[in-house]
Order: sequence, then C-alpha cells, then structure tokens
Amino acid sequence: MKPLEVFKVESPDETGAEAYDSVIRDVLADLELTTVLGRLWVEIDPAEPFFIFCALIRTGLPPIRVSDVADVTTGTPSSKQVILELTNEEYVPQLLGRLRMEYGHENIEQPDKKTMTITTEEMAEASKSIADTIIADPRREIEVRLADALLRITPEGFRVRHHVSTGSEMLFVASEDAIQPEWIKRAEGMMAELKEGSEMEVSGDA
Amino acid sequence: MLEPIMYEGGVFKHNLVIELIEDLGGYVLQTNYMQTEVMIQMLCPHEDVSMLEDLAKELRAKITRAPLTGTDIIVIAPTLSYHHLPHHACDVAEYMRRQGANTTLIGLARGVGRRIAQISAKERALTDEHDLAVFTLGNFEDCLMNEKYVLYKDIEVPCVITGTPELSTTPAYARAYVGHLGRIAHRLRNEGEIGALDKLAEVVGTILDEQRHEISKDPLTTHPARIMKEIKEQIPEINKSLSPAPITLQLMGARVKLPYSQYKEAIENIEFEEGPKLGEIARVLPSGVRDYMLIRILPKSVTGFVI
Repeated sequence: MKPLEVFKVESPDETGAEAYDSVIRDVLADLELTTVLGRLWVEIDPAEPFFIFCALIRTGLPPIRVSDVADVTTGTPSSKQVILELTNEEYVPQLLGRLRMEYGHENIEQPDKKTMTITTEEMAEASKSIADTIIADPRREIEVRLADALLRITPEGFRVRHHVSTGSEMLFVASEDAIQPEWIKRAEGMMAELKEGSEMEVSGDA
Repeated sequence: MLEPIMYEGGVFKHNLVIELIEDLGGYVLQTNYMQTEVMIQMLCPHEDVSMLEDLAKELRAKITRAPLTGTDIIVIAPTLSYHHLPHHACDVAEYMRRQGANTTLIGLARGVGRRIAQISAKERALTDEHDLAVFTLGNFEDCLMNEKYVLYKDIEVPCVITGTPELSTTPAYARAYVGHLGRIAHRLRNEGEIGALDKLAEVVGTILDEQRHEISKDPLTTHPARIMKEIKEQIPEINKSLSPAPITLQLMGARVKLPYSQYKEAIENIEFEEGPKLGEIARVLPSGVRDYMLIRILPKSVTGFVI
C-alpha cells in the first residue's frame, strides 16, 4: 500500500468537502502522518449531522530493540559486565531508563558517549535478554499522533463519538447527536470497500 | 472632517510629522517603533493632507489612508481550540490591525457545533462594547445559513461573518458575509486567501464608514481623539500602562486601560478648555475587559452643544 493512495473526502456540500480536504492534508502534514496512512475515506454530512473517518494504516514499523541501536557483547569473565557499543544515539534516553529500571542505577555506567556497561552476575543471560529488550515502539507513537489528528480534524462540536481501532485500521464516527446505528453500518461499509481495494491490489501483485 | 492616515517610515525626524499633525489640529493615535522603523496612526484634517504628503515625501516615508484607524473590532472564533486558532482567526485579526484597527480576539466558551452552539450574556455584552464584530466561522453552507445565527442574532453592533462557501445571500441577522475565509489549518498566504482578507478589510471599512455617517447625523459632543488627548495630558498615570494602546479609540468613545474603581472620578473630572467636564458630556462605564473603563460620548441632541 502506497502512502495515501486513496484519499476521499465526500459531502453533499462540495465546497465544504474541498475545504475539509485541505484541513485534513494540513493536519496530517503537521503531525507527520502522511506516510503512515495508506487509504483514507472521510464523509461529512452537516445536515444529519455525522462525520465518518475510515483509514487503513500502513504497517511495517517493528518495535525498536536494543540490538537495533547497539552491539551487545560481554566483557571479560572477571569484569562481570555486559558492554553496549551504541550505533544509533536516537533512543539513548529510553535505553538508559529501561536499563536503570532493570539492573539498578548503580550498575549502569557510561564511560564514553557511545559505550555503556552493565554490571551483572549473569553476564551471558543478561546480554541475550538486553539485546531483545524493546525500548521504543513507533507504532504506539503513531497511534497517539493519529488520535490527536482525528480530534483536530473532527468538527469540534461533534462530541458524541464511536470508534473502532485495530492495528491496521481505524473507524471513527462522530456527531453532536446520539450516534445512529445506520451511520455505523455506513462506516463499516466504507471500511469494507477500502479493504476490498487493498485485497484486489494484493491479488493483482501476486 | 478628520482623515485616518497611517505613516510608515524611518525613525529619523519622525517627530516633525508628529509636530505637524499637532499644529494642524489633528491627533496622533498610536506610535509603534520597530527598531529603525516607525508606524504612526493619526487623524489629519482632510484639507491639510497634502502638507503631510509633502513632508512624507521629503522624509522618504509612505502614507496611506487607513479607514479602520481609530476603531475597535472584536474577532470572535467559536472556541479557543486548535480547530479555529491560530490560523484564520488570528490572521483576520492581524490583517485588520495592519489596516489601523485595534482588534480583540476572543473564543466563545460554547460556540461550537450546530444545535449546541450558544453565546453567553457576558460574551454578548463584551461584543457590544466594540464597534464591529467579525465571526470567523466554518466550511458548510447549511451551518452558516441555518444554525450559526444564534451566536449573533442579539448582538447590537454590526456583525460580519466569514466562512468558506460563496453565499448568494447574507445569512440572517448578519450585516455582511465574506467567503473563502473558513476553517483553514495553514497560514493565510496564498493569493486567493490574501484576496479574501482584502475583501474583508474593504467590507469592514465600508460598514464603519456607514456607522460614521450615521453618527454624523447627530454628532458627538466631542471627537473621541480629543478625549484621548485630554486624558493623556490630565491623567499622567495612563503613560505608565504597559498596554500598546492604553486608550483604545472607538467610533462613539474610548476604552481606557485604567482601573475603573480607582480612576472613574478622575476621568469624569477631566476639564475641557471650553468649560464642561468630561462627566457632563460622556458616560464613564465599567468595561467587560478586566477592570478597564469605557467612555461613551453623548450626542449633541443630549448635551445641546458640540466642542
């Protein structure tokens, strides 16, 4: 799925739909979400009133493990140390926090900018488990940003909300009145149509 | 007849401009220094504008007619959230400021939505303190025409509405409508958007000119700028105010940024050389903005004279 390969904003009021198209593009660009969404279909009917937002999220962002940002080795048997040689400094604050929580503040040292040592009795086991420790999850950050974007895009007065969110799709219905079951059905239909497109693409590629 | 003029030039010798205006019987309303540049808003007698033009030419400065000078405009967004601010509402307020107006920007507490939109009595009273209100509304024609009027239907000052669609008729209860200025999440800088801001400034200028014309049928006892001058001369504390415009001029009076509780009597006792005191030709009221005070000048039909 390419970034925003489907981008539809529909409304009985065409001028309003065009304006909303611009608002959505601006908000997604501000929150750096343009490459995160694969397909997006928004429908707004001010007369009903409802706001439906269906999106397919592009997957493929694995969680960041220690082994992704550092080379993990063990020191000499007498030193009882695990040594991390950092290759990427972007996640150092999260890494330090995680290690201190696990092994205690006094056992973590940073002799120079790109080296960290962890003093522990179980060197071999520790080096393995440290390498597999998850220190950051970009997916989680994206979910937070996506929720923020949704709240910015939705008309502010539409405070009654219904949402279904899984790892790869997001369905959101909002209104200022009680949510009607047919709006949810309509949103589910839209979502199914969006997904149908992606299945066709997969079979086409094959 | 005083002409609202904006002077933009260097700081060098700009005091000559201020002296000239005072000699001609005009008023300097506001002086803003921006490093080596200065921007002066003033009222100049219509027949003497050419003298000012000559001096500006000599000093390599620019003078322009700024019809919004000496007016107090309130820009109202449905709320203060990021749905409506900073783009659009702030840009509208800033653009009118550049045309010479003093603008106040507020967000309503519960102005959002369609059926649920409402304005409180306090917000309405605050709006009525100004010369004109601009409501920066949204994208959908149905909302603009059928729902949002509840926000401004009971407001006494003229209301200008902005929104995205081009409407063939002005929404009910509004004085004017300007399109292409709806909910926008980026800075207004494209050609069409700047054009819409120009249109808004023009529409607002026309409405204010109509208001001035209306007031001239029963003229005010004195010009608001005269009151500003007397306050500056007789109440030195005003110069200690940190506000960029300690006295905000309005079409029918002024808002003075001094505490009402402490300065009401001092303001009422301001004397004019023709004899009357300010308390006799104007009403001094508490303003809805902080503890400021509002001066409303009485018309000739009430006082029986003009000074």
